[in-house]
Amino acid sequence: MDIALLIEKVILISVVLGISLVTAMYTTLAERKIAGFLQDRYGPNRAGPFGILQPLADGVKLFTKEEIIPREANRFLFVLGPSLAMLMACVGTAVIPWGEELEIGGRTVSLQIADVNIGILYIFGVVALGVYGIMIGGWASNNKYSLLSAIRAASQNISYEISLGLSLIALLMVTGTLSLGEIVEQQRGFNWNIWYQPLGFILFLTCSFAETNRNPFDLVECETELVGGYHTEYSSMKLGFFLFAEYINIFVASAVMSTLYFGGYNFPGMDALAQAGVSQNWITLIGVGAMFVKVLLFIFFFIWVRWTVPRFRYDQLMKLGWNIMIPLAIANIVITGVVIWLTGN
Amino acid sequence: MLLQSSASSYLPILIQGIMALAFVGITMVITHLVGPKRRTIDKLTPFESGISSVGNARSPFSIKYFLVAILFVLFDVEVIFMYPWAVNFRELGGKGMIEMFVFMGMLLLGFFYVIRKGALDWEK
Amino acid sequence: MTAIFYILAGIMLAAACYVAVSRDIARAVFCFFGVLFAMAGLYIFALADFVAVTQILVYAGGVVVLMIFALMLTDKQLLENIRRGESSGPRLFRARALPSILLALAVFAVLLQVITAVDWGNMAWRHEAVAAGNRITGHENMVENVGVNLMTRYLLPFEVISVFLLAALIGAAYLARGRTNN
Repeated sequence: MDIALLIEKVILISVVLGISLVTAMYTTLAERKIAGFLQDRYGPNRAGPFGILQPLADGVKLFTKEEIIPREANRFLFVLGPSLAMLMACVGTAVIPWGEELEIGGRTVSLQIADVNIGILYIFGVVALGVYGIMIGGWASNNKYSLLSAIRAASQNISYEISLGLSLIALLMVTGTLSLGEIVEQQRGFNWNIWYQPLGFILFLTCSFAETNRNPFDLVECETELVGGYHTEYSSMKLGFFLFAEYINIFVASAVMSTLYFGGYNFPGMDALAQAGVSQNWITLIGVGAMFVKVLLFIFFFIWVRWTVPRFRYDQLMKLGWNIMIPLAIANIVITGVVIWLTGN
Repeated sequence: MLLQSSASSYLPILIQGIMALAFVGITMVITHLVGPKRRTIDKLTPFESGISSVGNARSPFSIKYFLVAILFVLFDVEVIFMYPWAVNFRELGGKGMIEMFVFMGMLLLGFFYVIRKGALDWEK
Repeated sequence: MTAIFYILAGIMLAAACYVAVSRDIARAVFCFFGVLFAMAGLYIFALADFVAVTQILVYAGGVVVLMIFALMLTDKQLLENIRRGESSGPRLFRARALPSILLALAVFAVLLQVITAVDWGNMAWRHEAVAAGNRITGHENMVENVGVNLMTRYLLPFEVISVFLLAALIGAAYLARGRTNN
């Protein structure tokens, strides 16, 4: 890997990390604004016009709050918990193709940080490790609520991970590759995977709600039972990291869903634009725009569901995960297999 | 040799990991330095809805959770084995499909046994 | 690139030593996590990215969760007792640890013997593989390779695995049933 490529990658990584942090920051604002709208009240509107400086104010507040580590907590693991949560949230974006290639000064710049052969499995791995932050933090707190929450989080995440993996397998049977770059290439124009995998998408969507611990699967921090759940004992930026990691995870989950099922940066009519003589750079930029529109729509959907649907009970959650989702996912694989086989590739 | 191989495509992931680690580390140090520090005994006691804390937080819990984790490991192995098959699904064709369905059938058998035994019955 | 290899190997060895020596089980589990990670990195160096990701998914994602659950299920008092231990003095060189240290050294001696005895550049199977064109150039998609081989050459072991998993599932169900009856 030569130096120019290395610099290019470092810049791209910085931009992607920056964008995911800023998006997460403004998702917190959007969440409160949309909640306000749905409940017929204002939401934050004091910091700046329409409250757009609110996330900055929150950040400054979290930084300047007192850092409390409870007496009986395991100090090392107590600090490790939120760090791991944030770290895992930040590395998830590495394999997502944000756009096609850009031509800058004769250099072809890929808008994907790393096009590895096993892109989907990488995402799956990051999801699998995402639970450790909550689990370690909750356990290290030495608080009864935190411990219950940590156990719940771990069980819930691993239960839905299986359905997540199974729904991805049906998708792979259609695409025949694990590389996210190739999967997006195949969906060129309007040939999106959602048309071939509607049930798989619904399963994947449900699992991503469960994996990001969002309502209706937010038993991990359900206030009525567990006070604050795993972050009951946390304060200052450690608490901020836990909350923030959740929003970054939503961003990553939205990006993954857009990439896998909704064509990523592809948009209808991109070939027509190319034939009309629009330069490749412009098409790429429009594609990046299309990608972000899809991601933002998914983020909106996450928030919308949170303020609309009530929460599950824990036994219902586990029952849904094991007794309904897994059989459905397997049925989806069988149906996909038989259909592809009968229609002769 | 490694420079052209597939291993080098993981280098950006490593870089991103290091950058994320640096971000997390720096933020942790800053928040440690910036915030006020006024520690009192009450403040450092584990929270328990306002009453003084009773007993030990590290109490044992239901074996059900442990069972879920065991089942997860088993199914995870199954799912992992299915990935290479799914990628080659078209080349392997009907024969490969039947072979995989036998594999899946075995696991489903065990899965239904577990469910019938009520091992995942949370109301009990 | 070579530097990265040595860093990963170093992390792995250091973490593994800590796991073996530490009396704080929580930290030992975390270091085990580090070992698994570094090992996944080494697999990538061996061009086995599928194995690397399997390592992360099954071991780091599954088995370590199981370990932490076991840790949580264990009584805290018991953990404290383990942590304190009975004897004082440096942890590694207690008389009780002597047999295990000797055993480890013996295994290491055998490994060292093998490593130094083999002529790495001149092994018969390597020449055969090169002659038959059966080698990895570093650009193939290893997952497809694994898939085709599992479904053709190694079909029997593959199906036997499913029987193993079935046995494990039944065992798990039995284990849970025994506990709920108590």
